[in-house]
Amino acid sequence: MSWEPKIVVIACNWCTYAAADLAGSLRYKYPPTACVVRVPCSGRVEPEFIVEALVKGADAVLVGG
Amino acid sequence: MGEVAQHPNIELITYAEVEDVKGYVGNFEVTIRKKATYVDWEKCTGCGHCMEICPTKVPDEFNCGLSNRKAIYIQFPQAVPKKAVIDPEHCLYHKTLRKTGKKVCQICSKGIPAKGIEGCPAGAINYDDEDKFIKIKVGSVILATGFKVMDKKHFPEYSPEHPDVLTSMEFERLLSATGPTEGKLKRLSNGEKPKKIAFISCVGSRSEKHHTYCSKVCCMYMLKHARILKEKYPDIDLYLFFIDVRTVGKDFEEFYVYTKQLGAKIIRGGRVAGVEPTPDGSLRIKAYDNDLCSPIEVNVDMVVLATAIEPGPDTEKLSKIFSVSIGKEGFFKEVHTKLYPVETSAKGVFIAGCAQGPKDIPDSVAQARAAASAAAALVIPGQIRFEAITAEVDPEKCSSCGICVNLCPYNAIVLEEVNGQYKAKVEAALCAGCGTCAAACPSRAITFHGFTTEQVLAQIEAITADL
Repeated sequence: MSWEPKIVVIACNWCTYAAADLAGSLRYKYPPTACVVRVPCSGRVEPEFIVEALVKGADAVLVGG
Repeated sequence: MGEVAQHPNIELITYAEVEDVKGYVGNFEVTIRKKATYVDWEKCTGCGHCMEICPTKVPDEFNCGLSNRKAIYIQFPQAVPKKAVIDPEHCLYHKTLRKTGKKVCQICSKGIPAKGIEGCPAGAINYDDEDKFIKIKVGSVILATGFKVMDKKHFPEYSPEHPDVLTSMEFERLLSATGPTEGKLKRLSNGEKPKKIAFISCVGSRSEKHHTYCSKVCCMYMLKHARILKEKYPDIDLYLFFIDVRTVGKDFEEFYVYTKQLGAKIIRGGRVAGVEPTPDGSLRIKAYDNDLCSPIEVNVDMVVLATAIEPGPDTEKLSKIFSVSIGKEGFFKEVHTKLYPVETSAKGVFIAGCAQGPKDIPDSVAQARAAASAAAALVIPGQIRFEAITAEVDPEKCSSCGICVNLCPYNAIVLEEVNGQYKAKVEAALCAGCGTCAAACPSRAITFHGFTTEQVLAQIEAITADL
């Protein structure tokens, strides 16, 4: 099996999270290793969230907003 | 309008402008500038004597400049309230006072004693009047500031400077009993009754060059003008030039069919290419007729341009005062075209009528009623429900740095004095729940309910647990 990066996605409730939701409704596929954390706005993202995810072993963090 | 002025629950403030707004939904404080009228409205009876004796003539805005008013005037015969105002720009007294400091004229107050003409019988003239500022507290606001008719000067191809080329609004005044000709239809070039009139639609509307939108009302009022003319003067030839006829609405199609039956000629065929004056004083229209599949030329005595509906001149200024967004065409923007048609991005501020976009009277009335209901429904309960997802400051931890105050996109945070120290405070009514303040606070003094730092970190921990 090939290596797949573990990605923590921090998604804005109004755009990125809605888009991820829509992707689900449309039966699009995305790897199970991308896990979404919903925030009310990308403005809510503290630097600590990103650092914490990387420290705990995530290969990448995607902030969408 | 008269009924509105009489209503016990409505206070009508005319000849005034909104200067500033503070506060938020339920607690707006509006500063209004009541412009100086130079006439004591308590005393003025609206008799119109001052308008007769005033020596200064000014183009009448209400009649699109086709006739003159005086420097002291009542805007139009049905004005509410029917009170006179002095236009200080043109009033001889004010003009001379500004230039030389001398007090001249004063005919409206003192009359002309040598000729036995008396001044204002009510003694209402007050030359020293000044702008007054008043503050009122309101719970919600409706913006219904209307529209402006596009100027014909933008269309050199239609000979706009020719006296017989009118905009529809000018033509409307020409037909009105209170208009410049007292309702008599005549050419402004020579005073004769026109035998042939052409109406041109979509002047400035549906055009990449000017406005891409449809002004919505022009097709119907062109047909209305045609019908009025045909019923009053059946011998006049009418040519109505359309790109295509848009008579959407209840009973509108029947109106169109009836106008055609009266003998108005409908010509469909894209935009009219040009209007040229001819040596014999008539105007030549160059167009294309889709039904004939051929270019056509018609000589007429008068041309009426259905110029576009444009946003009112103060729309942009008001949008800044009330923090309401405006669309790309310059009209106030609703939150959602279908689901929130009268709500704006500013909570507690509603919109109605042509300020929101071009529309006819039935649509304006329907939207005005919707806006009035929405505004009342918000205020009447005396309390408003908010999302629970808001920020809260712990004054114990707050270091008074003020970083959050500047960052908040909704201006919901202020520094408030608590026991001699300034502490940040979130106004829950204004907080939209973005969380920017909580992320930025260096002292971790802001708790963001629903998405606390601990909650988000716990989620990240859970996701990364199996790594």
